[in-house]
Amino acid sequence: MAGKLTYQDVQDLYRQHGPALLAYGTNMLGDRAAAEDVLHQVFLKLLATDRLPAEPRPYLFKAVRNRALNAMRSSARLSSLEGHEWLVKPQGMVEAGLEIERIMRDLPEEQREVVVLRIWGEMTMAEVAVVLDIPENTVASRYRYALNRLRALLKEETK
Amino acid sequence: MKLDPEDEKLESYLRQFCAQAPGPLPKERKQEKVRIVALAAIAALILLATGIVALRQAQNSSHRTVVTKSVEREPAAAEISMIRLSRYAQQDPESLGANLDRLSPRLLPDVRKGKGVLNHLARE
Repeated sequence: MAGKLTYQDVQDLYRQHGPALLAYGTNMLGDRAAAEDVLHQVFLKLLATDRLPAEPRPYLFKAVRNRALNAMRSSARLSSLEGHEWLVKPQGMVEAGLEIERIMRDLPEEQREVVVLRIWGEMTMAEVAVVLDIPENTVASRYRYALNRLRALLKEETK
Repeated sequence: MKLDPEDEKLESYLRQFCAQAPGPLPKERKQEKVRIVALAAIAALILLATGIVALRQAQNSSHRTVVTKSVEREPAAAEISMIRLSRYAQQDPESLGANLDRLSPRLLPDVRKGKGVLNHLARE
């Protein structure tokens, strides 16, 4: 997909990956508005470069991650995610959606980002490993722990 | 990585919930912003260059004034040139001192007016 970049290309990428990137940024920063700022910075930078990256999806997630980490360092803010909704709740599933957002808040950060990248970023384990710059086995084990914990928390909530 | 059926079930449950879309991407292109900054920088450079040229010209004109003044003084300087002094000495040796006294105040500072070392030496 590498090639000369047009404004339409960037808009298409934004439409295609924006929701998952926003979910990722919000889960990292604990602040939807700050995550949206990060997202805009990444896409405006992409516009300025005038070239499409060869693998846009890992590139975009990695860029959002780096900028979010910088923002976290500069603001020294702890992410709480409290009151920041980032999931679309289908009709009749509003409570369930809120419950997932709540449970995600309780996951350790390193497990939470693997889940977001895998479920909402629709990435393979190998792609997640590239974004996080960690071995694929580490991604797999973090994901397994995260799913076990999510399952346990969901069971607790439904009791 | 092979997931067990329980994990796959949980994955498909979570995937029922889509991530919310972000607000529209700002239309401002960074390139345009860079272009505006570049144009502003060029305009500032042109202004600076114009200012420098104007300053140089002003300095040159004041230098010319100095030159003009020195040109005005030339007759006096010419009057006490070696040739002219030799001529005074040959033609009218007695008036040489008087001629020098007449010309020197026009070319040399009056040390008697100041309070410096020259004034002190002059008094001595």
